[in-house]
Amino acid sequence: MAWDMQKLIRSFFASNASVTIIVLLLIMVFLMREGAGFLGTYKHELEIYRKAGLELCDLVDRPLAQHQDLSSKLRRAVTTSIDPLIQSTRARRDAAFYIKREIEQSTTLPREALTQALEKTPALDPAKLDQLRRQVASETAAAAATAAISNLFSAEEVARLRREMSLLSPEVTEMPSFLTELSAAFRVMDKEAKQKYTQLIEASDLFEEAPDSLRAMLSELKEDVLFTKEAAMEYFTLEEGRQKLLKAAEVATDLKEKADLLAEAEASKTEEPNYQENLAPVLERREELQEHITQYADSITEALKTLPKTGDVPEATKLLAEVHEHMPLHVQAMRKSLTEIKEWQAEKPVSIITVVGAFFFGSAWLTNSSWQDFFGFVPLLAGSVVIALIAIVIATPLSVAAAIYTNQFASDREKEFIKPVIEFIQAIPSVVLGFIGISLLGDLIKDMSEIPWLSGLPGFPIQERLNMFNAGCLLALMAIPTMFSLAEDALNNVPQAYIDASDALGATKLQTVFRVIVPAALSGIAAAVLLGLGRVIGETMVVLLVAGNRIAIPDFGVGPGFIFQPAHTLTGIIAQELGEVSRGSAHWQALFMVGIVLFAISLLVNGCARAVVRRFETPKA
Amino acid sequence: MSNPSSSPATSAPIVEIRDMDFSYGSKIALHDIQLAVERRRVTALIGPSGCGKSTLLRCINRMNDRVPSARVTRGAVLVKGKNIHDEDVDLTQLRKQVGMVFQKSNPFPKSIYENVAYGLRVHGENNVEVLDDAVERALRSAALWDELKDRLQAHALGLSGGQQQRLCIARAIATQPDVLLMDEPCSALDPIATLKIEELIHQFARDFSVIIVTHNMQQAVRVSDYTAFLHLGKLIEFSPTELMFERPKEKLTESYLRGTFS
Amino acid sequence: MSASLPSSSPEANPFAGNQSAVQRRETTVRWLLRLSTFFIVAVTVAIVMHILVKGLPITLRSEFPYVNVKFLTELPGTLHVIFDKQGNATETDVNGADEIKKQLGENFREEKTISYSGGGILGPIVGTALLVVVSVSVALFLGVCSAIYLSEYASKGKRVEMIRLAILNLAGVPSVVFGLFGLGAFVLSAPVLTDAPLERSLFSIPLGLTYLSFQGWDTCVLSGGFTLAFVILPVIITASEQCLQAVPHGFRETSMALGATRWQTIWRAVLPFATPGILTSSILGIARAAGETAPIMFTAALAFKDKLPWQKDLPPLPADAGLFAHWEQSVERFLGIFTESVQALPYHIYTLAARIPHNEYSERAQYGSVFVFLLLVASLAATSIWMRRRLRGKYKW
Repeated sequence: MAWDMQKLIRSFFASNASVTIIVLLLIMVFLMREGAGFLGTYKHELEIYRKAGLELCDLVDRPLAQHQDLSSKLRRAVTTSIDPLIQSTRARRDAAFYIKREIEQSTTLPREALTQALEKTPALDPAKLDQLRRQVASETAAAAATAAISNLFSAEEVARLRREMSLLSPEVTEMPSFLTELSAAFRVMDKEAKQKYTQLIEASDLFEEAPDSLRAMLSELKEDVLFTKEAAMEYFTLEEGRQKLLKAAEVATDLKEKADLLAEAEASKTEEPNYQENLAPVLERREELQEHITQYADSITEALKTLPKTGDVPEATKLLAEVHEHMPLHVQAMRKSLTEIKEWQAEKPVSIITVVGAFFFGSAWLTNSSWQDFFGFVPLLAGSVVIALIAIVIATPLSVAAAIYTNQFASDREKEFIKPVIEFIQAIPSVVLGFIGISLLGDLIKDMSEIPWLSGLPGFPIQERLNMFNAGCLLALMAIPTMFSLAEDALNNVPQAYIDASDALGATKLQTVFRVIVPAALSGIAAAVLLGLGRVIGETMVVLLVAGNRIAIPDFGVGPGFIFQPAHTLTGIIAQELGEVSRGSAHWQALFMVGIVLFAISLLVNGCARAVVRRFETPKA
Repeated sequence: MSNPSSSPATSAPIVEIRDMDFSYGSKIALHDIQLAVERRRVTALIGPSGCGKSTLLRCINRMNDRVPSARVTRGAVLVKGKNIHDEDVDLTQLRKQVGMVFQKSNPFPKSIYENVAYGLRVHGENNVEVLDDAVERALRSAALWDELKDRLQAHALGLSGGQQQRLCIARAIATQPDVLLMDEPCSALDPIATLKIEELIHQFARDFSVIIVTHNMQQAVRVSDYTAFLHLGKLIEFSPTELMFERPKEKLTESYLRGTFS
Repeated sequence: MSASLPSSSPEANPFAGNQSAVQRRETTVRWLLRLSTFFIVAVTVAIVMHILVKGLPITLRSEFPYVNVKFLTELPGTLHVIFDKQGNATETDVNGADEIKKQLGENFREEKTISYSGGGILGPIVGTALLVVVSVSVALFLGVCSAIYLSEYASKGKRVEMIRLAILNLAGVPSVVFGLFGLGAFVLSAPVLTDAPLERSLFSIPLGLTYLSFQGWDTCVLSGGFTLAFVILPVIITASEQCLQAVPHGFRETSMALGATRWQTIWRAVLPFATPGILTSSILGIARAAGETAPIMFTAALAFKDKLPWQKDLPPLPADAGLFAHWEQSVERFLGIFTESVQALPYHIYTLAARIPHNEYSERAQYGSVFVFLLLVASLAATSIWMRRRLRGKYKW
């Protein structure tokens, strides 16, 4: 009996210990349960996308999207060319208007009071109105007298500005004369400048207008196919409800209830739209569409011919060169769409491989779209990986150096101080670090990027406060305690005998550290870096708050400065979107698929860390 | 107490210890040590466990410096006539010229070649030919060359225990030191490996001075020219080995050598 | 060295070295390493100081009782800021706004509303406390039992290997994946007793009067607490096992030699000595559980709630209700605490930081909450670190 009791106790503890295995399995099971249906659902959606004809429109629409990019480049080429000519007059105009706004803002309260008093019916006592007017006048005068005026104006002009500004009042509707003069001067300048670059501007306008007719036609087609798609979606929703009702009717015991349910099911019965019939008019216009495309391609090729090859400022020359380089590719892509349209078939089945490819290699994650949702995984993965790499690149040298210093050089008093502080970092909740990124680090980096003598650094000055670099810095801080303590353990485990031998051979402390201790601890350090990487990739709150949440593959073309672009991540997308989608939808399942991938990555990183330790473990001496 | 002047002195001693006291904090570990080690001879340090023989050995290349409270409180250690605690002594240079082999073999987790070359590398030698040459010479001296010449890039920790210890010896002599300190180099080895190392020690006496700590008195007889007997931190007797083992001067020595030591 | 000894002449120094160059290199590298180390330390201190400087004025007051009682004892709400025509601003909540507007009458100029930034943060504090209580109870039970098995019962083998592997991997699972797991498992699939199983139920087992239906607990403290429990489970197991291992082997052998059974040995000769350590490390678990956001996002947390968990609307009891009815309602009220979703501090900070526009008023709520949150979590962590150091000194066998 006693023996049995012992066995029972033992198996009680054993079963508790197995909980970790069970939980790990359950995580897999539940992720699969919610996410596994994704491929099926997405396949179904893509089938409708094809059958309804949305895909046909996208065949044109997708290459056409480059037009936006190219025309914005041209517009920038125009503005950068004109800019040097008009810059000074514009700056003077803007500065004057800015002063006016400042003065008006600082005198809001009396101005508002006067305006409201004037609107009153019956009219207020004139004495009272006068008092209000005097108040406005005196405050405005005071503000005008003290307003800071930029050095763009001569002393004479400053005096004039102050004089005219001091007369501002809500009752005076016309502009102060100086402002009108400045505006007029700017207009003249602008016109002159534009005349100088007529050729460039005309080519740019030509290019901008080129796709108008194609776009118009495309949007007609889009309307048609979208109608079919929406009808299909509605049908499937109703059908699903109907199936549920039928099921309920099957198990219902009450006869009347059963009849009611059946009747309700019958009432919600609808027809699946006839895709072929709906698509027929669209397909009929296929040739017309092709004509428009050819026309568009021809007209931009024409426009390109008249487009000057160089500008007067380097920036413009660069932009023009880019346009000259990319435009033929764009034309080519448009012409390629001609054959694609011709060969396109609505009935071609969507293979499961296409669906898997669309998820794992898809370059767009587009949800809640009125057109079509796409669940492409690449932009998220790219964001996660870039941020993690930034974090590791920052954290590795810092934490390894700190581990070496603490383990080998620091005095006991320093150790007493360093170790608890670094341990403490682990206790800072990630949401607090994310908040620091929003409230402090973002501004810090942005301000720093605007320092003139740092402007040579890639990506400076930066556009966005919240970006991958910002998130990477904070994640580096999060990874440091893990990496530091694991690396320090590894250094600690280096046998004293190695150090003795090195010392006895007359090596200096530094030589001993870098030639014997660090190499001997290298596998442990490598594992520390890998585990740090795992921690960084899985981190959610910092990237959700700080990475900028722009779903796009980072534009690596801009050089190393791409790290200052915003991005979205695997973890962030789940945290951000899961709360807002309905269970069982393709979007819900897609988010669980992302979860499955994250889970797999974490297992992989863990496995690699273990393998590294095992592979490079020094044989026991 | 033996009189140091009674020890035979043909030329200037390579290591000379004068009236040295050594203590760990307030605990005195060595007291009033007088010792003059001759060039190109093997000197054995014997004595019961805890008598301070290893500490004495470690005084000669200042390996005790690392222990925070340990220091020489009186007297001096002279190597090649130079007080090694002088300000202008570069510790790395001292240790380059006073090599050391430890009780347990401790090759680095590197290749055989890198182990032997390590001492030269840390002293700034990067010329591959010089290194190749030195490695070969050191391995030959340690009687390892024939066994290992084909696998110099193999991992040192893959060698047998005896080979590892000989590799450590090769590493220590690669920098061509004048003095080689050996701290019970055979205590972890089997008799055959021990024999090989003892042979090496004999050969070494042609080129450098060897100071060996051993707890094995037969070994002291086999390898050493002179023997110093320490007891409780004091040098009891120091004389030519044969003389000491045949006719010990001190009672304490005699009882230790006879094994009637209590 | 004693000066009386003859020192050799300087030119005969056989151990001269080019010390200055070497020394310079050594010092440079050493300073580089030191600089990296202290850079990390400085950044940490700077972050904490920043929060301290910005958060202290919001939570402390210059006169008695020296803390901003309102901020700590009120529920969060929408902040209304009312401006009069002289440019004065009055802050108030939704109830006060109308009255002040009426008072101002003609003088009223404009009103700004800032979501979540008014009132205090009592709701989030209570919610986090509840989540921590549930998660730490569950994790401590499972964790200590697992540790006892691993340390006291298990012998080397496949099974133990697998458990250890599972612990390692569980520790590496991203927190947001735990959130997904909690959503799938506890919110949508955990078993409940109910009279009418929901449609989404995985399956339900009839038990006579009621059903055991696997339909989930919905978003509530229980779901969130269990999810968090598995997040901190690896930490608790590892720490507990270390504490058990630290108890000298001799204790067990002595006990066994006296004829005690294995269980008696564990209960009387091992656990009593390991308990202080286990409790200490569980404090670290508390800090971790309190700090996590992603696992509770979909399982327990709400952005806004105007009631504390126990202020649930229950039907009023009839005047002549017996003692039993009162008791029954109290029990229901108590259980209700755990089946409600709550606000939690980390999620509240997320809401404040990411979901509402920034201005001076929201910034105040942000820094106040962050300060209180960091203070709570950091003091827990500091206590744990400090106690561990003390224990290490105290228990040296």
